[in-house]
Amino acid sequence: MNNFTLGRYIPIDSFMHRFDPRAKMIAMLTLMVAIFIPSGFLGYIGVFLVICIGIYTSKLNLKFFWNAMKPMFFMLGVLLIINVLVVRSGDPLITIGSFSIYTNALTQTGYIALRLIFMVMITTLLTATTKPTDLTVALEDLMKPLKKIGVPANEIAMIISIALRFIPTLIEETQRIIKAQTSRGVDLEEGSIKEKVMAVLSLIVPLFVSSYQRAEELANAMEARGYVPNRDRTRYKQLHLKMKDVVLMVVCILVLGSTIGMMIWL
Amino acid sequence: MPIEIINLSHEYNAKTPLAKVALCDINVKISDGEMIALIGETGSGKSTLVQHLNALLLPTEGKIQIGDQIIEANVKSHGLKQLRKKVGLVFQFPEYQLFEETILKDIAFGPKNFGVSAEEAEQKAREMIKIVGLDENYLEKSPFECSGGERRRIAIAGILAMGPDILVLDEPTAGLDPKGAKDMMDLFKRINEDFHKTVLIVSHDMEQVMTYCQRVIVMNHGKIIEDCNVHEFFQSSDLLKQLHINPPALLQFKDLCKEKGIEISKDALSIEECVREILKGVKR
Amino acid sequence: MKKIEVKECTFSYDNTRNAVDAISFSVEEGSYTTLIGHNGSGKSTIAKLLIGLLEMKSGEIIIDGLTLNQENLYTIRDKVGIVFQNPDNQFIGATVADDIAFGLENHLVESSQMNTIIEKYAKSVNMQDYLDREPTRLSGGQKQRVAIAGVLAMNPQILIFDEATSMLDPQGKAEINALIHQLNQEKKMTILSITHDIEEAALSDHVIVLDQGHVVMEGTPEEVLCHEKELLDLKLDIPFSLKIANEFEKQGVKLKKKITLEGLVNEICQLK
Repeated sequence: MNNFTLGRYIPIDSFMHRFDPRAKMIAMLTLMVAIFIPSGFLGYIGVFLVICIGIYTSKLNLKFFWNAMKPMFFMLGVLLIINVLVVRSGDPLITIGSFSIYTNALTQTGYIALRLIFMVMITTLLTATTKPTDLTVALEDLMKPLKKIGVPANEIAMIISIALRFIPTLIEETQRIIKAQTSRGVDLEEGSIKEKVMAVLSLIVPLFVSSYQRAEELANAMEARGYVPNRDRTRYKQLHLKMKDVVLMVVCILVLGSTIGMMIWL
Repeated sequence: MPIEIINLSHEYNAKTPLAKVALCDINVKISDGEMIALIGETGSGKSTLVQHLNALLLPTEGKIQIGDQIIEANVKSHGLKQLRKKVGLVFQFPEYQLFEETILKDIAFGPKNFGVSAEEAEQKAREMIKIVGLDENYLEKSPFECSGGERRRIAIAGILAMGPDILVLDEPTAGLDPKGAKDMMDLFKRINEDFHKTVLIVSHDMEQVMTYCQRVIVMNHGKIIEDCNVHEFFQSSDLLKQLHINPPALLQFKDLCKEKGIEISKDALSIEECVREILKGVKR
Repeated sequence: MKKIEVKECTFSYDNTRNAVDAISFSVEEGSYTTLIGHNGSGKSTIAKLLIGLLEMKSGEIIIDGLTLNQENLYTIRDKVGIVFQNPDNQFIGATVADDIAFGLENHLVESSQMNTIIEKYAKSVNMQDYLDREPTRLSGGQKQRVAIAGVLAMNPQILIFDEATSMLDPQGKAEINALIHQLNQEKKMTILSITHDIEEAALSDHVIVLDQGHVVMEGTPEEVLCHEKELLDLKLDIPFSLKIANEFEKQGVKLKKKITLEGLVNEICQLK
């Protein structure tokens, strides 16, 4: 689990960490939209600058972002090969016999690569600088308007926060069961298909049984402490929008505006 | 099958920023047929040590010799699976590892994994269910119909069926009622005495340690800080208090007597001996 | 005054066997009552019936003068706080502070007031330095203390401990037991502790022994815990002091039965 960077929160204190999670979420969404506007390379300058400032002020290691992007490179490689073979527009760049590589193959791959890289950087920036629980709270607030059309925003937030709370517990439990079954001779790596099926069953059944029991006990504990689904609750965690949060959102919206402008202008 | 642990250390997440030393320079020799208690505060490294005996964790330094098999740090070992057959490890709350439709199949699961034929494995299951004190007609039931205490017995039967020479148990009586706990400890004693298996029990319950075990190994911060005979260990509650261990009731009783001027010798480690000494003193 | 009254209460999980069978007992205001019985004797079922997590087949439960029914279920849950067995499965919040806040949020306490309340109750269980900790970085005993703080924050009059120490190590167990006594003596809270720890029962005011969903014995610890044969038959243990007294009797000296070691040693002193 240790080299898994995508989506992981890094508990340090930085300028980026201190933004209101709602502001960060909205900023992320705006930039995502901007990325998908076909505005040419120039249009991405704004996005690029915001990301650079974001990374710089997050005090995060560049290597951290590099690690987050690694899984994408294979995909991009495949994409490049396909584009080189398929795209037949633009000027021929290199010609080997009857086969030519066209400039558009490279520019198109470049576009997609840039978009993906930006996307991963933005989401990494958000998740690395915002506690998962704060994201849940932000989500709950941002979904508030949806309550009017019957979306159970509070319940969704409760489900997410309980899921987040129990992920480490369940990982621990899974490791324990794996060890227990390994010592009973289960081999997860070798063996026939039938043996493998048994091996997986020997993990899943106990995990399911204990999770079910956990869920029941948790439900009892929640009810005993006065939780009633669909009833109003107050909330301990309150978010306060500050000036800098507003600035962040305005900047991102301006960036979006500029890419739209580029698209129309070019 | 004797066990020898030599200069064993274990570091979790070795060579990363999250590295944490869990065991430090452990040296232990365990002979055949011993019944040993492994005690220490939560987080002292007991579970980590126990998992090494089953090769679930491998030493980052030092080595372990179990029978003629050697597991050494930084040396690729073979036959770890065979080792697991020889050392039966019962985790805490083992009732949560049951998964088969019938108890028979669940007990036979371990032996079958180690290459025992289906018939032989079922034969083993029939034997073991009786040893753990349940009736043979349980075998066709689903383990999930049984009570918590029964399921724990079934899980232990599943380990015993693998025919280990050494049985290692991590807090086997946690959560059981007094009768259940006593029956469980009696079972381990029988396995030790009648079946001549080495038994190593991780326990927090000093009464159990005093009543059932012959030797005590105490761990603290990843080190072994005491390894001695039960009689020596329970000589006085001072040592125990130093080690943050709540003395067993008998020692508490002896201390109270001492406060009131009733002297009982340090060697008296059973209720019977203590009472005899007190009465001797009174009659004099 | 009776704080909890259970009258002829019956409950069954599967309609074939009654887990709780026409049981009647009561808990006095301000008392520390222990409910003991082996695993499967129906103890935990009673805890769930008392706060309406399970619905009884017949009978009546009166808590603080109110008869438990659908209408006043929530009023009753406000009066009764419960701490369950498994420390992990009752930790709802992401951190200690969030977990204590959970009950407050349900009770519509204003968020501006929560911090004061959280700090106060975290302090009362000595967890004030851990407010930002996640449950995975707490010991079992610490998690149970947080659970107690979360319950106390809702100002209950009655506290039920449903085998709250059975999954803890000796240190955790001792911490929680000390806390229970403190709540009973200093805060005058009514305590109902469900346990199979006979030494804990010896230190309570009133002991109720259960078997197969029935009350089989009831009284002060002195009255109940001297019934050695019955307790052993019920898969329970007897206090250690009685084991010593029995040995005295075996060796020809009869002592008055005492359920604590202190009491026993005093008796022994009188032999001289």
